[in-house]
Amino acid sequence: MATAITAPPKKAPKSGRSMVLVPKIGPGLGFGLFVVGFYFLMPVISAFEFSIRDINDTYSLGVYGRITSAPDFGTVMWLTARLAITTVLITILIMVPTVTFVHLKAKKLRRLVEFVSLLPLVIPPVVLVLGVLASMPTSVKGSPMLLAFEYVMLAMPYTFRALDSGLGAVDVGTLVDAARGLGAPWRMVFFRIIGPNIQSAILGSIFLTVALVLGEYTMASLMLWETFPTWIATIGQSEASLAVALSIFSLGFAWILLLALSAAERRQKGKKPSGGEA
Amino acid sequence: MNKTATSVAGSDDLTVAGGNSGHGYRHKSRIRTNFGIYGGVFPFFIYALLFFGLPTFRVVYLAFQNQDGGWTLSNVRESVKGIYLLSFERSLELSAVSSITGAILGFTAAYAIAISSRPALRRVVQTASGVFANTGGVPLAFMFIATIGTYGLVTKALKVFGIDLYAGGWTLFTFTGLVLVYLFFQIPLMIIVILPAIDGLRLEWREAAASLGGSKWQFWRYVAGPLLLPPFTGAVLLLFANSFAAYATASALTSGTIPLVPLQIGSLVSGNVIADRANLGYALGFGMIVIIGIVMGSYAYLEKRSAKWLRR
Amino acid sequence: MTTQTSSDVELKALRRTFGDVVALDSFNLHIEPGELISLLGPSGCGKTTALRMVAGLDQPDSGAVVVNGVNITALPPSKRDMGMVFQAYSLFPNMTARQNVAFGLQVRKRGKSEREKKAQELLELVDLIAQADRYPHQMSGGQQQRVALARALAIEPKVLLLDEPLSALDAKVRTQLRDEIRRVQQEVGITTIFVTHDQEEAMAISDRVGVMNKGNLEQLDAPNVVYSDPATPFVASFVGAMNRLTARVIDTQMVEVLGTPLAISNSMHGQSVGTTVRALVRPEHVVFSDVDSSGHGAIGTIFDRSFRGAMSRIVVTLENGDSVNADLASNQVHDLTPGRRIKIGTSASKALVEN
Repeated sequence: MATAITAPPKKAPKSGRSMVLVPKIGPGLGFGLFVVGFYFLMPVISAFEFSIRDINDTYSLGVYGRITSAPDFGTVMWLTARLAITTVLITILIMVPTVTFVHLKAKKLRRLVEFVSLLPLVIPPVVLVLGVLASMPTSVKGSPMLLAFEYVMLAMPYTFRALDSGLGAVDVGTLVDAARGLGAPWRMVFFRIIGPNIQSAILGSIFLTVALVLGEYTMASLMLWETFPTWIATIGQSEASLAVALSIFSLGFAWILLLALSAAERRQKGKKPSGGEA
Repeated sequence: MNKTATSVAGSDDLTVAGGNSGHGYRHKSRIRTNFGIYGGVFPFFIYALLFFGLPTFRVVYLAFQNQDGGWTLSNVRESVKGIYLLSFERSLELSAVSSITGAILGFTAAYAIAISSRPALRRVVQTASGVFANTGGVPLAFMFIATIGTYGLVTKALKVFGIDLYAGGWTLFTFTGLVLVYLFFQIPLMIIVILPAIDGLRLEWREAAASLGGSKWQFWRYVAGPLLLPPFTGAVLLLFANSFAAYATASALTSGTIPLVPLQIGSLVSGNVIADRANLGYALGFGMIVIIGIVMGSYAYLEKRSAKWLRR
Repeated sequence: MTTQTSSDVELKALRRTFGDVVALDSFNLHIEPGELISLLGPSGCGKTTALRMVAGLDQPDSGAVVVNGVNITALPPSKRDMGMVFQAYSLFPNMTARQNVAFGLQVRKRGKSEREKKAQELLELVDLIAQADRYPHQMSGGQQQRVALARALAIEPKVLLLDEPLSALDAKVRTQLRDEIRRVQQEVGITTIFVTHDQEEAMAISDRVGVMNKGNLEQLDAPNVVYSDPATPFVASFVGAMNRLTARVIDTQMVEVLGTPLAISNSMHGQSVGTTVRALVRPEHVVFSDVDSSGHGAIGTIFDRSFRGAMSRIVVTLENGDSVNADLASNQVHDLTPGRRIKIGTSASKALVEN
């Protein structure tokens, strides 16, 4: 269920366009939208209310202060952080050169690479973990970093798409040809031409990956590692308020990551060469 | 530049005159090019093979292995009997209901924000959709328990109005409860997936239809409807696969009360192994792969179809 | 093709503002039955707004749209019986050309045989029968616009409205298609409003051209009149090329430009004799003579000569600093070499003047 896709921003409507047939939100649609909004807002509000409610039915934000002193907080956060960093590093190391390569030199392979990157969508994490436990040597299974290696696969559909559209938006091939034609060495081409143009895409991939790692429960739990999501579940068995507080916190953090992602996407869109009449 | 003549004359390759490349350059680069085209993607394929291909093949392989190492169909046969058959049925039911309901509600919401004149509303819903589509497991379960659990906020509020949710013996941990919770990530996913399609509806089509005498209903029946049907169906399929594969939320909410395939696999992984059916879990996994494979394949096909028409 | 009676269209005092911007300012226009009128002007001049009001896709703040004596301003677009062709992308992508053309009849609940017959008839009229069962994305831009035209005409509308139908097409296709449109329009005899920013297009096919600027109609005349007798400096410089040259008022309605006294064709607001103004002279009205020849003229140096096929352009720099563009037949420019001193005048008898 780690579907970290985001919706695309809309093009600005033409100014002064006619008003007669433009659809508007009528009372029926407006009410429906309100009901849907209510459905999403209530759980967040209820959870927040629950978390700050004391045994005596008084309210205090104290529970959020207790987060850092929760049992195993340090170990869990450290492990999760290491997993996130490792996943991000491996992703960048593997995906950036591959996608760049496929755009520059091996255009025919792009479809194949895209297909492979989409395969993780067909194998649910619960089945993947089944396979991992059955195929990896015990020594490998002994390290939590195996999770990171698998997370790279789980994130692949999204990281590929982010890098692929980033490179596709600016015709990197032409830019590189132009730079090489002017005599630029490969290193300069990479850092001054390709790099800046996919910066936003790389940033986007990083945010997507981090969001995935912070939310992935299935594989971590079935491989018996205590990461942030599985830890919340453990806490939930003893201290409900704390668990709910952690859930709210996790939601909030995901929100921040996604805001950062849309900011990165907007920067990427800004680089798109504007076609059409001047 | 007078090296050119000699390099051309001396080379047995098709070196183009001009430039100070030595005559061996072309020959060398041809080898390099061949290696280059496939070499650059080698690490990618090796990695995917190792950390994805290997586990997947292992599951499929073991699904057809019995404990002594011979080939057998007994695992697969067992996986569609009794409790496991029930789990498949329940999983398919849950996926069907949550995907269709989520699709209809999500479409309505997406349509509303697509036509809304307030860009702020659109941006908020987009970000929220991204966050909520990825919400699940314990956080999601706890949020709903806090809302409409036995002592939930909304439960209590409704009691004030005389409505008792639990009067008929209903709880959050039933099938309908699960659907209600699943909608929390299904609806946002629908919004994300269908919004580009709705945006792809051009105002020119509406205006052309109107000037030709068509009413709003006729426009939807003959133009917008047929155009949105493939992406809508595709989205339903995506939601279906998403629901079918979900483990964390189901595990957090049901703890064994509702039989679902991911949960069965989970319990088999966690060591609840029935002695002579050790490879049953793999058969179940294989079943999941087949079902989701078919669904996602159909989704991919529909995606291609709708892209042709709704290309901006 | 069934002959339909041509409609009379009148736009009365249409006014439309978008926030602070006045798109149309008390716009009046009367179109004769069977006539093809072009609304010509730069972006933002209001031509598209006016068209959309006739179609019903936009509502005026005040004023009326009258067709055959009936005030249709309050009618929704689906009830107006107008055929509209948009700039691009208006074909329904899920329908073939044939189905697109038949759409208007389908929503009017006409029978299947009638729809098929009409679609066939119109696709033949626009010469697109070979593509009849293709989808829009399988057709070129020019082909799509032909389908759009056929579709608009299928419902036998009272008026044909075209909103820059050729702007998105290649130059060659544009010229071909505009003649097609004119041919079809004359064959059917339908009253037509054609909106464009391309003056050559407007001139080539219209019975009358309405030049618009900033929400106002500056001139409405036959194409040749608009060209040779522009009513305002805007029309003069928008239609065809124009030189803006330094001139001097020498009498109440007389100005001297390029050393030649000319009548001022637009009224001047109390400009006293001796004031420096700008006069508009067409490049093809510039005449050349030797420096020492008699007759009116101004002395300058030939700056550039560029061959442009049948015509050539000579650029002359005058002593007062003005740069003058002159168009001459190419077989007459042999002696007009860059660097040569020359005398230039104008063959026109009048000129538009601006301050």
